[in-house]
Amino acid sequence: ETVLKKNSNHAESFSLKGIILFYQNEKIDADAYIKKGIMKGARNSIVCHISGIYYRARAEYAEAAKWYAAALENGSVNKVIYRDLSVMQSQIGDFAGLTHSRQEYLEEQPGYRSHWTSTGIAYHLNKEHAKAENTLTKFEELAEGKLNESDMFENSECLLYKNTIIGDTHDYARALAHLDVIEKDSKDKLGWLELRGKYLMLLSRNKEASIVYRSLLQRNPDNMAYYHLLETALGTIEKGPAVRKQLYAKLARFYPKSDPPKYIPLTFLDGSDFTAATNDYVLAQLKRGVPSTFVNVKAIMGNSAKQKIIEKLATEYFEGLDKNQEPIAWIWASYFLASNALYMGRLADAHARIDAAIAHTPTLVELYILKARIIKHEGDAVAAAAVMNVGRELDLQDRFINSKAAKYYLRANMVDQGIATISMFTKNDNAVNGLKDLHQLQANWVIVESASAYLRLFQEASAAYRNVLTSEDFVALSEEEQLKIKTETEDQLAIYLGLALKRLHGVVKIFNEYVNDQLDFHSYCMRRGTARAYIEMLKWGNSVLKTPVYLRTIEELGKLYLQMADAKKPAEDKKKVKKVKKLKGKDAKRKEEYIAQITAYADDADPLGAELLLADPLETFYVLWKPVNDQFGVSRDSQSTEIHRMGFEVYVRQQKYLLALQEVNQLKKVTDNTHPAIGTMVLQLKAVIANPETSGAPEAILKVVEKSIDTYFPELGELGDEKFLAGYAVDEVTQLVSELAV
Amino acid sequence: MGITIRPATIEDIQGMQNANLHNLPENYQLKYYMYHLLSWPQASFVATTTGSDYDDTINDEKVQAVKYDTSYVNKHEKIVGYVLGKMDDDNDNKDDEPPHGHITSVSVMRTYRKMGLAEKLMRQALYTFAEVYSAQYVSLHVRKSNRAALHLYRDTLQFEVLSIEKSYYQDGEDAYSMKLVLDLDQLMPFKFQNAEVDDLESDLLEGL
Repeated sequence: ETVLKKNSNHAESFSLKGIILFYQNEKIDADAYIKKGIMKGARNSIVCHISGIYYRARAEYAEAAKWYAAALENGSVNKVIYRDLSVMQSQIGDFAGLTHSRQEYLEEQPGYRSHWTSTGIAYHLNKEHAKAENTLTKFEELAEGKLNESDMFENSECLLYKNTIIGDTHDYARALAHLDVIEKDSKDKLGWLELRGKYLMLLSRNKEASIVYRSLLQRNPDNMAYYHLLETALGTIEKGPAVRKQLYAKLARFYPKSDPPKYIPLTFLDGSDFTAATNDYVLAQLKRGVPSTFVNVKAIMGNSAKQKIIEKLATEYFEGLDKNQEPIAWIWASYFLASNALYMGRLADAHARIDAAIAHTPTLVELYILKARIIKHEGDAVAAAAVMNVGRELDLQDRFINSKAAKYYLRANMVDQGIATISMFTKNDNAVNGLKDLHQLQANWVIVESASAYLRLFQEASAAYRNVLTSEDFVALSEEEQLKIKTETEDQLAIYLGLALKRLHGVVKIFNEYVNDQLDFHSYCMRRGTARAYIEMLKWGNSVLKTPVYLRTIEELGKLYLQMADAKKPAEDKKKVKKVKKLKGKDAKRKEEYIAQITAYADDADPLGAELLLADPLETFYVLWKPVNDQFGVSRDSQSTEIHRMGFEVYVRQQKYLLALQEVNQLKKVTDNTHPAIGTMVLQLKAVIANPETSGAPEAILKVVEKSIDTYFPELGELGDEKFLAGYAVDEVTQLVSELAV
Repeated sequence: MGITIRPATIEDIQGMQNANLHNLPENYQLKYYMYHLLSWPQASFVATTTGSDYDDTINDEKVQAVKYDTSYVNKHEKIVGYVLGKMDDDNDNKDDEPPHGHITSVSVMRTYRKMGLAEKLMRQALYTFAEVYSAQYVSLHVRKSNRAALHLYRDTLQFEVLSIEKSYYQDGEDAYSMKLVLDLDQLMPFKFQNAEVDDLESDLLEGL
C-alpha cells in the first residue's frame, strides 16, 4: 500500500494487493488489481508468480499454468514454482509441459523418491514409455539396499506401476519376466496375479493362465470375472454346455457358498438342465428368504423360454407351500411371483399377489417397496408415495426405506414432503430441513429428482395457465383482477423454473467439485507411490462428466435453456423480476418460510434461482455443454446422442453452421446413421443456409456448409428432401424443444 | 444379474457415495472416498450386480436402457454394497503402535441382504489388510442399536468388543469399539467355504 502511494506504477505491489484483497474476499477489486499488475509488469517474474497463485485460487488452472510458466521464463529462480506448475499441468492434461517441469524439479531435488515417481508418471502420461521406465529404474538403483520396512508399500506400488508401463508397450514377454523379478517385493499379490494372468493369456500360455485364475478364485471366489477368465483360459466356452456344466459343478464343490458357480450355468444351460439349475439357484434362495432372488435372475428373464420355466417352477413351488406352516418361504415366493408379474407387465396379477402377501405379513417393509413400485407402474405416483411411506413408518431406523419414500414423494411432485422426509436422516443444524446438508454431501440423486419435480410442476402450471388465459371465466374478469391473477401465476411459474434451474446447477456445482477434487492428488499420490491408482484417477477425471446423472442434468438444462432462448428476450425478464413487489404481513412471512425451506446453500443471495432466469440462456448452456462434448470427443459412445443433438441446436442458434453440421455428423457416426432426428436436422440446416440474409453468416461460410452437407450426406442430392427424410424413422422427440417453447 | 465382489476402483466411488447416502446416516464428500482409494488402493471392495455382458444368448432389452440411476457404475453394474477401508497411519504420535487397519464404512442395500455380502466384503478387506498392508489388527465402530452388524463382527468374524464409546455418532448414539487381530494364514477367503479344496495342479477338465 505504501509503496503504491509512492510509486503508482509499481506492478508487483498491484499484484500483491490483488492477492491480499482476494483472500479478504474482495473478489471484484482483487481481479482489477491483478489485471493492473499484469498490464504493467507482464514480464516481471514476481507479477507472473502472483498471477499464477491468484488464478489457481480461482480454480482457473489453465490460466494459472500460463502464469507459473511465465514466472519461470522471466527469470524466477524459485524452483518450487515447477512443483506448482506441475500440479496445474496435471490438472489440465498438459503432459508434454509436465515432463519438462517434473524433470526440472527432479534435478533440483533428486533426494526424494516422489520426484522420481512423478517424473516417471509424467513421461508415461506423455507416452514416452522408455523414459518413464528408465526414470523409475534409476531410482531403484540409487535406493538399492537403502529402503526400510516403512518404505515397502510405496516400493511395491512403484514396482508394480513400472510393470504396467512395460505392459503398455505390448512387450508381454518382458513384462512377465519383470513380474518374476519383482515378485518378492510385491505386496499386492492379488494385483500381481491379475497381471500375470493377463500376460500369460496374451502370450497364449493358457494352461499356466488357468492356474493363475484358479489361485485368484481361492482368494475371491465371488468375483464373476475370474470364472469367465478361467473359462477363456480353459477354452471351455467352445467346448459347449455339457462340459461347462460339469466344470461349474466342480467349481461349486470348491466354492459352495459363492454365487457365481451356481448363477453362471443359468446363462448357458437349456431344457431340463436349466430346470435343475433353476431349482438349485432360485428355489434355494426363496427358501432362505433372499429378497433379491428375482433381481438376481432378472437378466435371465430376458430369455422368454427361460422366463417361462422359472415362472412355472416358482409357481409350482409356491402352490405347494402352506402359508401357515412355512410362512417365510410363502412370503418370499409371493414376493418373487409379484415381481415376475410386474416384470411381465401383468399389473393386476402383481397387485393382487402383493396385497395377499401384505395381508399375510403386514410388517415386512420389502412388500411395501414392491407394492409402491407396482402402483407407480399403474400410473399413480401419489398413491405409490403413500404406500412407500407406510413401509417407511414400519422401520424408522432404516435410511434405505426413508430414501425410497423421499424419492417417491419427489416423483409425485411433492417436493417439500420429500425433503422433509429425507431430513430425518440429515444434519440439519439450525435449518428447517437438511437441504443444505444434502448439497454439502453431494446427494446428486435428491437434487436431480427435485429438479425434475420442479420442472414437472412448471410444465403443469404453464399448461394450466395457458388454459386459464383463454377461458371464458378469465376473459370476463376486470382488467385489474386479470392482472392480479397474471402476476401471481407468473411469479409462481418463475419460482418453479428458477428452482428447477437452481437444482440442476446444484448438480453442476458438485461435478465441478469432483473434477477439482483431483487437485491435491497430483502431489499426494507421488509421495505415497500409489501411481497405478493415480493413473486411474486421471482416466476417471477425463470421463466423469459422462456419468449418467450428469448427462441427465445437462440434457434437462439444455431443454430449458433452448426453450428460454427461443421463447423470451432476457430484457422482458428483468422487468418481470423487478416487478415483484415487497410483500407485507402474512404474505411476507409465508414467503420467508418458503425460502428457508428451499435454501440450498448458506448465505445464498439467490435461493430461488431468480438470477439464473436472467443470464443469457444460450451462452450459459454452451459453457456447460462444451466440456461434456469434449469428454465424449470423437468416441462412438451411444450415450452421447442427446449431447450431439443439443450441440446442433446451440450452434444453429449461434449461427455457427459448420459446427452444427459437425454435430449432426457425430450423431450419424455414433448411431450408424440411424438416429431419427438426423434427417430433420440436415434439412433444417439446408433451409437456414439457403437464405443468406437471415442466416447471419458470410456467404463464403454458407458455401462451405453446403459443400460439407454434400460430403457428409451425398444421398441428399440424389434422393431429394422428401425421400431423404423418409429414410429416417419418425422421431418422437424431434418436436420436443419446439413444443416446450410454446 | 448374479452378484460379484471385486476390488473397488476410482470408477466406483460415486456409486459408493450414493450407496452410503441411501443406507447410512454418516456420509462423506466424494473426496474422502478418493482419499481412501488413492492412499490404500487395495483396501476397499464393492459388491455389484452383473449383466449379460458375458452371455449373448440373452435378450435383455429391458435392462439395456441407459440408467440414470446414481447407483450404476456401468450399464449392468449397480453398486449394492461396499466396504471402505483405511490404514490408521496418519497418527504421528503413536509411532509405537503396530500397523493396523480401520473399517471406515460398510453397507449393503436393504434389498440385497441375506446373501452374506457384508461378510464376504469384510473377508476380502481383512485379508488385504494383513497381506498388502501388514496390518496386525483391524478396528471398527458399530452402532449400539445395530444388532445385525454386531452379530456379523462379533459372532461371525470374531471381533472382540474393546469398549463402548459414548455418543460416538453425530446423532448421539453410542458405539461399540471393536478389534480383530489378524492372522494371514487363517484369513485366506476360500478357507471359509469349508469345502473341497482346489489343489491348483490337477487338470480341471479331466474326465469331463
